[in-house]
Amino acid sequence: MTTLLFVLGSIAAIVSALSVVTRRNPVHSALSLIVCLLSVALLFLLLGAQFVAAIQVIVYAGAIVVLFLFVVMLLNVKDESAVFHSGIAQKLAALALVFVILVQVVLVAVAGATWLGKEQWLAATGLSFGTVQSVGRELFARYLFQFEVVSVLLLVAIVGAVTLVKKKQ
Amino acid sequence: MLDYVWLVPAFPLAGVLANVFLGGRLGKKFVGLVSCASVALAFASSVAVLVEMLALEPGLRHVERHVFTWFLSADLKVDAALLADPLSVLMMVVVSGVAFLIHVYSVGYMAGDPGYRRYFIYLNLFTFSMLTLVSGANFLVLYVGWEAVGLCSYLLIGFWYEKKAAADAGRKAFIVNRIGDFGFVLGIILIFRMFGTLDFGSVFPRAAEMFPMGSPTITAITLLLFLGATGKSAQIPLYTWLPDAMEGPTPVSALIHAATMVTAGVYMVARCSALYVLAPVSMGVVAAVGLATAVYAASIGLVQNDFKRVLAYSTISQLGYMFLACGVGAFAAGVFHLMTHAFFKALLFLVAGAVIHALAGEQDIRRMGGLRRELPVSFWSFVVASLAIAGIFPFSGFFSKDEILWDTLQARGPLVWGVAAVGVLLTAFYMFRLLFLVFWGKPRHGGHVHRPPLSIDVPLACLAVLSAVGGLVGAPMLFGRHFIKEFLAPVFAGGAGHAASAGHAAAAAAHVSAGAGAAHPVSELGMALVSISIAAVGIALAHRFYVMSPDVPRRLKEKFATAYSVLLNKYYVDEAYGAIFVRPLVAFAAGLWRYLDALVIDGAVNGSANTVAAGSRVLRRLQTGRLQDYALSVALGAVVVLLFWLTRW
Amino acid sequence: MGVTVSQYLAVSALLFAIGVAGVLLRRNMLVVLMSVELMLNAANLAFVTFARMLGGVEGQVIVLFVMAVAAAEVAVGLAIVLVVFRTGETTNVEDVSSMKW
Repeated sequence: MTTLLFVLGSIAAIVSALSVVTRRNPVHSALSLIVCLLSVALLFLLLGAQFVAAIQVIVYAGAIVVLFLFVVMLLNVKDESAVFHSGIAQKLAALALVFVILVQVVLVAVAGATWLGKEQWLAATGLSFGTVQSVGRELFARYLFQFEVVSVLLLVAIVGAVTLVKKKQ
Repeated sequence: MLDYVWLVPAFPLAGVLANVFLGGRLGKKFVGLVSCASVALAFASSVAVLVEMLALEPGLRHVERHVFTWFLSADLKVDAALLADPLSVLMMVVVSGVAFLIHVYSVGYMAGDPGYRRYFIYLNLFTFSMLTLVSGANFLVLYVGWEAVGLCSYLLIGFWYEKKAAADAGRKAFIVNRIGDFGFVLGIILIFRMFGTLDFGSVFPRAAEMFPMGSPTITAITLLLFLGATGKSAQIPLYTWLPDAMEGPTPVSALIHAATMVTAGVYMVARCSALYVLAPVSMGVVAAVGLATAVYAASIGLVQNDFKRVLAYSTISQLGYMFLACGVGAFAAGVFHLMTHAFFKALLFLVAGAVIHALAGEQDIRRMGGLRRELPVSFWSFVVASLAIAGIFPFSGFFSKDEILWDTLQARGPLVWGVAAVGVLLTAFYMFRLLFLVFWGKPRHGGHVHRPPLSIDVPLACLAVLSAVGGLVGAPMLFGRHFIKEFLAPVFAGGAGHAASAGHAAAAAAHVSAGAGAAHPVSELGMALVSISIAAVGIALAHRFYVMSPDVPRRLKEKFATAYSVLLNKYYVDEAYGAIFVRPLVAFAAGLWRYLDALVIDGAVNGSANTVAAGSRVLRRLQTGRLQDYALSVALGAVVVLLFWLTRW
Repeated sequence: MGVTVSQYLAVSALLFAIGVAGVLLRRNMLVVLMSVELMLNAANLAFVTFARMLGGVEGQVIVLFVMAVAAAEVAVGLAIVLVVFRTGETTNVEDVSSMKW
């Protein structure tokens, strides 16, 4: 069952991600992004991170992508004739790089995992793992300071966005 | 007061600073007042030092005052130290006194000049430097003063720098002096190498212990120092800058190029007498150069037509006499002549300035004449000064010059004396030629004669009095004592003691000691009469040529056309120097400029710049301004970092 | 649990690579931003995988921080896109090169 869900979720995530990058119309890209995020949320659930999965759906798929859609609609961008970068060299270089990165990340991740846990999952620490309670306790105890810093970061982002977009008199 | 010797140079320095920082705001009156007052204070303090020194025992008249440690490096310790001994105090009094009178004179002379403040700043700076030069207690302080007076001289010769001749003359003076100063520096370095110190107080006493008579080292040192002196004091072969230096304002010519700076070489040689007496060869060279210069310059002075140039050659010639005196071991006589010369030559130049001022810039004596009545003060001063320089009793020049001639006769025999006496004849002739052409006869100037202001006449009168009676301090036959010689004896005694051991220097040494002149009163009196009569002959000749029958010179000119043109063109020495030294150097420099500088050095500089520019032109393509190209580089960087980690595993 | 850690990480790596390709290749600024989101998501997936593997929640906490940073980034990024569009009538990254010397 888990394996099936993992296969479905990961295939959905990868296909929709490809679709994000390849669609001509930004609206389609944004919709594909939602699908991708939701698939990743499914993977989160499979990994026992219920809270993070919920946040992924609410904040990411809900708020952020909706923001994207708003802007896309606002700008009223037409389909583009040239979707991709103009330089052929740039294109080839980028693709080559992407391939190298892929290989490297896989190597590092697999090697790292092998080295750390020999592909073994640690026993889930009871039912509380990944719940709001356990994550919240960690967040507001050990990571309180970082949490406050992030709140300031968000405030700065809000102020920045407002001042950027504000029309000058 | 002896503890405050430093005040003497400090006052003019304070004047410089006051005029630099405040002079512009407070106006002309302030500038003139400050510079005159500062030099007056310097004069007053040097007189105070002199008075205090006279109260001391002669043996104790040597006071060194350490002002601050200038620098300290391994073996080399140099103090900014000042020395007060009879020689330096005498020089201080003479320099500050003459400088004060010339400052006052300048207030009137430069009144209308736009560079008034600059002029007084330079003039004060010069006074400061000259006082530093004469009061320094080691070779380096002396050298600082030496270079600083050279700088002031350059600045003041080129004071009217818009005039090409003045700017050129300034540069010429500077460059020619540089040649001499190079020798001077080498001499100083050699002294340090040999003695390990530069203090007069330790070099001179040790010289006689460390080196035998006539040692090549001492000869080299003294010859190198003398090379410096020939530059500064305008002796053969480095005299050519002085006549050109007359492009500067006349009071400057009076102060720097007649009374004080050019005598620095004489002062230096006298100061180093302890070294010179150990080197008979150098003494011979000094005497020979002095004698040759004295006669040679006087002969050029015979035919020059520029008022100031005649005086310039006269200065060179008189400096030659001073070196002659030093070269025959009569250092006291040389310094004595330096002093009297300071009075009468400053006076001659100031009169020249007054005349030029009165005639609105006219310098050619052929367009003067008949100024006796219009400028009485100038005229009478000029008469006094001319009599003094010609050596007529009882004016100051008589005593000093006669002493030099007498010492020359004693040390080097009648032949050298005879040549020197020819110089005396020429001196008397050209001075009175000048006097008759300028003040006698019919006016040939056509223009209106301006009456000089009081600030010009008063210094003239003061200097005239000094020129008249200044020699009495060295008149043994009148007073039975030779005050100058006695006063200076402690300075030269050290060297004289050693000189006594060697050949012809013995006679010279005998003369240095006080009262030596009195040992042969009859013959010295006889020789004095001879030299007076020689001078009188010169005067009489001048009178016959330029007053009685004015066409004699013209006929002589036609008869000896070649000789005349050689003299008029100063023996073509400037041209010869130009052909031998200047032009090849200029060509060499031009070659360096065109090939080494323009091709190699500029090529290297421009080449590196072009390389960078070309490289930038290539590398600039990396800066596309497109976001994704930068993102690509970031990704590339990430790849490299990851590769590094993977391979490390 | 038949699925191994490596398989999750492989999915994460693929998503990341697709994101990189999007950032490097697409011309539309909006899509570039979306691709950045993809990359961040890939990282999140890796974090959660490791959290599960090590049995701790720190990884999940960091995912929360990453989401906050992503939100901030999107807010500012979209604001910039808006301003650029307002001045230049374009969303093409290649047209925005006035910072070039």
